[in-house]
Amino acid sequence: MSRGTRGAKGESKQERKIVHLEREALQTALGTRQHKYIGKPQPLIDGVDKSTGRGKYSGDFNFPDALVGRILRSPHAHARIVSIDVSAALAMEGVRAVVTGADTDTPFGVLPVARDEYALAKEKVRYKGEEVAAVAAVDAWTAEQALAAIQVVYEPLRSYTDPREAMADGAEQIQPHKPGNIEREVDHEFGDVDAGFAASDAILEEEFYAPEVTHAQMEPHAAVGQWDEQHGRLTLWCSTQVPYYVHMSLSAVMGLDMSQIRVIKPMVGGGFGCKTEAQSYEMICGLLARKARGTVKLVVSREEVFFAHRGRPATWTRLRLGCTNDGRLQAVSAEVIQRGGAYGGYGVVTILYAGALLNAIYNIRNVRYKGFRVLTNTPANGAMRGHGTVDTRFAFESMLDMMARKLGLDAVELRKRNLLQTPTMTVNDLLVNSYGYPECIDKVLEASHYHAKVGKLPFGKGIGFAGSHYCSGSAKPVNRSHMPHAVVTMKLDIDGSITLFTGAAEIGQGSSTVMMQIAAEVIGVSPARFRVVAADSAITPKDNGSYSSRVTLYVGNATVQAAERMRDVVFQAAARGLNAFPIDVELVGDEFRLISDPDKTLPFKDMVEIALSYEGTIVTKGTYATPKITHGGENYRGAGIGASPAFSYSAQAVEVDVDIRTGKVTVENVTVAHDCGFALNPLSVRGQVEGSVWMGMAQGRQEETNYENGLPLAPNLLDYRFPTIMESPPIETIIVESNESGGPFGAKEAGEGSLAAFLPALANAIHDAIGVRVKDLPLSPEKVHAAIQQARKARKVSAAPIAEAGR
Amino acid sequence: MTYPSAPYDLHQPASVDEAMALMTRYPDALYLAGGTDLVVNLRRRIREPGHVIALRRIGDLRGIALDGGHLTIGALTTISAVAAHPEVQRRMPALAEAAGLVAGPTIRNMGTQGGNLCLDTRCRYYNQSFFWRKANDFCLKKDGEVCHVAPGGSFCWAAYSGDTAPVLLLHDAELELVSPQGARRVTLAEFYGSDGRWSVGTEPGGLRPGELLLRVHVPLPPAGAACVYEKLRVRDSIDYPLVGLALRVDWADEAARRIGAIAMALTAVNPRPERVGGLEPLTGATLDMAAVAHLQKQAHRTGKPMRTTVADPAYRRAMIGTLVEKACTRLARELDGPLMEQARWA
Repeated sequence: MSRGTRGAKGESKQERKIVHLEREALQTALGTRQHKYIGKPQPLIDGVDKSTGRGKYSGDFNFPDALVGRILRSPHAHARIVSIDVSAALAMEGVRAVVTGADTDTPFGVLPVARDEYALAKEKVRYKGEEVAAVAAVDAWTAEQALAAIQVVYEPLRSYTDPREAMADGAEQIQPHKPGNIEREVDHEFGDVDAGFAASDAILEEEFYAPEVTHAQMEPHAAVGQWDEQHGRLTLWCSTQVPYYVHMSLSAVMGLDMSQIRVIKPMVGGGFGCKTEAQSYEMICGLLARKARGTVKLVVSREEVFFAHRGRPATWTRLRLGCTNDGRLQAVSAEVIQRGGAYGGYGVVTILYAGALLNAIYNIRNVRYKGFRVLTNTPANGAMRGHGTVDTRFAFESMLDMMARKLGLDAVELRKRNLLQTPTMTVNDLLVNSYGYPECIDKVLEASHYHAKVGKLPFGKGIGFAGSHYCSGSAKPVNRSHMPHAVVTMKLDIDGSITLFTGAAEIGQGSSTVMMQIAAEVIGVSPARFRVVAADSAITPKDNGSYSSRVTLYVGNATVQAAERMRDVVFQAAARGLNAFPIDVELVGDEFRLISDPDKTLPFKDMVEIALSYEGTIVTKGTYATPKITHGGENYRGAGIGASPAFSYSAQAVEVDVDIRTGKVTVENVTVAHDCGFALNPLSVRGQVEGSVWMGMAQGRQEETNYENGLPLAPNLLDYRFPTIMESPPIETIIVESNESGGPFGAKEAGEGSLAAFLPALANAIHDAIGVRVKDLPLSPEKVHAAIQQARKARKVSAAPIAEAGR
Repeated sequence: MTYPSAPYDLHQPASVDEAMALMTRYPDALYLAGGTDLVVNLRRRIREPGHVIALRRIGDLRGIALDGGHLTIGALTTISAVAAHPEVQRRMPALAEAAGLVAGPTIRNMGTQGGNLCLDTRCRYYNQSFFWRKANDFCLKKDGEVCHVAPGGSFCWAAYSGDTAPVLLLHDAELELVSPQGARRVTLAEFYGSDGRWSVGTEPGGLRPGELLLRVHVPLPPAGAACVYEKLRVRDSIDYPLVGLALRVDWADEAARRIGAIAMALTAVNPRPERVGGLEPLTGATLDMAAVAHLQKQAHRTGKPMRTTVADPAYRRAMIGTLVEKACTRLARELDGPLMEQARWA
């Protein structure tokens, strides 16, 4: 646009200025200020590269001299290692390095209380599939033959798949420091639970079971390690959610100063929690590269992903709920046993989450929680989307429907009578600030026509409702670091581009895109000028990584601060160029201009020239640390888990069609409302919410890992039956914005909170359809069929068809 | 990466004669058609041949021909081509239906009709990696001594799980085979053995070492014959059948639902696709609730689901009866109401 055409529609400069200032003031006062780059659907900046196959994942890095790394795994579930002889393997042509437990003396693990793993087993193996030795060779088959040539002598020990057997008196101890095979016992009571039950008119007690499930992420674990013999340094590319943990763990395991290690996270094909912990294969890749003095590529098979695991543990829940006749919840008591697998990993956090997030969704003043995290001879469990909360929420929200039926109340009305009054501090000291749950409920009821359908659909068809929630990051970092949670730096250089450096791991959730949007919004510069460089320890600032849905809120806030500082520099430079005060300068497209005199303009590149002429390249930094008030209680052990700057909320209605002859359940549609505070990128929020619903559906309907003889029965994607597109229902996603005051532009969690509600909503829908309650997951055809058979036995007493007998 | 297969030399003959010459030279070789079964088994080291003879370049084994009263399907015809063929859809709709229910589209585009019939038997203790099988002390079918499905016995229970075989059984299909020793023709029924190891050449009618399936010949059913295929699986794509059932009725009087002849076959519940016997009493009978009950009784006698899949055998056993009901309902719509009512009150 050339000068002189502005203000052409008959308005004077003065009028324009007044209109502009009034509009801004009014919008600010009303909270309706128009955003330019946030709050609008923004395709992910790496989306095209990913969908066209151009993007590079760890396994795509091909170096001409790279060796192939392969891992020898334990064929025993529990055994003492008597001896390992690698001489025959080392003597083979094409074999460049062999490593065993003897190559490292330092255990690793994220939690300071659970550093019980070595990169390769020492003295004992504790599950079938555990890493015992590894080989770097010129090709995969040579490596495979070398593994076969390694002689390991084992002395088998008693092993356990069932945690209740592992906990029994006289059981063989799996870890030396954990008597009774209890990784962690939790015993919490808040309020007066006995009094709460005494004040209840109705008490229900039920048992629920959820089998182990795994993440089934698209990209199996992969790493490329490059050893620089000249400088004694390691570079590792790996598929991780937290490069920082890999960095620390490599340093410990390899006995190498952190300054000599560089960790780079390329594109990641999904993590869902399994890539949160640093994993053995990453350590092994580093050890092999150093020993071979070269480059080693280690990509694990799908089966090995099941051994690396870190998924959601098999969970036995006994839940007791007390309620008054008018539907006020008086007390809850939960007993949870989780089968943790052979190592601690994140287990302590999982068992604490399962109890902590009984709170912060409904107003319950008396809560008792008893949790056992038990060691077994199976692959270690860990963090998985909705960490620790999903199986408990399944039990709780199933039970709310059972309670409503017992009291003769509407199941959703029961929930509405127990909402929180926010802001509030829960009985276990969690701060709940923004709370869009009531709005989520109302929106879902309206969009799904729940009340027109529930109890009124023809036999075999049903609708179910449930809610769930999740934290926006752990307020206290689990590795007890005292540094800021997030740091972002930004650089404006001679080319007029702005580069945003973040250690936050873009793992497909869209974090790089959202940081770019935030920075563009704050500075007012078009996203086209931005680049995001993420997760390369040599270049980007340290970040705690992508877990517990922390990135948008934590790194987003750090980005706001770095961008505000950049905005100040930019507008001061522009003001200098325009000979005006910064407050009178606005940026329109690629041009600065005076609000009071729009004819006075300055091209962006001229501003850059001015800004850099004083001190050269401009660099700004932003940091974020969680406010103390969000840190949770201090007067009980485990209080830090669950505490978060903000909680997201979700409500869901699920409609099903049940074939009573096969037990097959068709999910006909899902209506979900998710309170994400503010949708910085509504496209991405929808994707995340749909993904959560889908993953909840996968666990709810058909996923399970069962072990026989210490081996997972379905360690492949044919037998591990996650749903395909054929099973995927239409999902109507409603975004609720409760405006979280602690979040960037009001934003909070969007990627996990909608998972858990699906499972109980499905169980509630099946009950509505055929009058049968299933409390064992997954609600697979065989489980539903078995429950129908049971209902039939009951029917023989009441002489009614199954739906009537169950209702 | 997937587990590497043992190294082998790949040969790509352009004719059946060339393939036979290669097989004469390399007797341990295996034939590769679509690879959807074999390649997986190579990577799991269930098969470790020194040579693989890929058949894709042999053009005259691909295609479907209608000749008088016969349908001839080249062994290399893809499953999707069988499913989409207009004449197959018109004259043998149950075959098109069964083919269309095999796995998912990508597998159907690669997998072949010949491969589907020659599909190796499947078992949860067998279709696992080398590491897994080793950590489980292997099994009777491959490298081991014990059948983990029925540990006491010396019988292999691995289940044949192809979808098209039960339909082709009910249509009296014949197979044209050739080996370096010569050509022969066998019925589909005699091709399979009762032990799960038939696929490695234990049966007189089964594939002998070096033998290749060239074509499938099927007599077309007469007018008034109806056949349906019912498949139970958890996912409506990808999955092998947990139970598969084909039911054929040659009506004496369709309007009155009077049966001229009736035949039924099962897949995925026995080591071979199995024809259900004892249906003679239904000749001349009406396809009614009593006939359904008789079919269920006989199907339950034949189908022996074992712990060969991750699904509970008791569930699969129950589902045999359910699939009988579903198949009958499709042939006689009037049965739907009474059968549903019965299910609700069962």
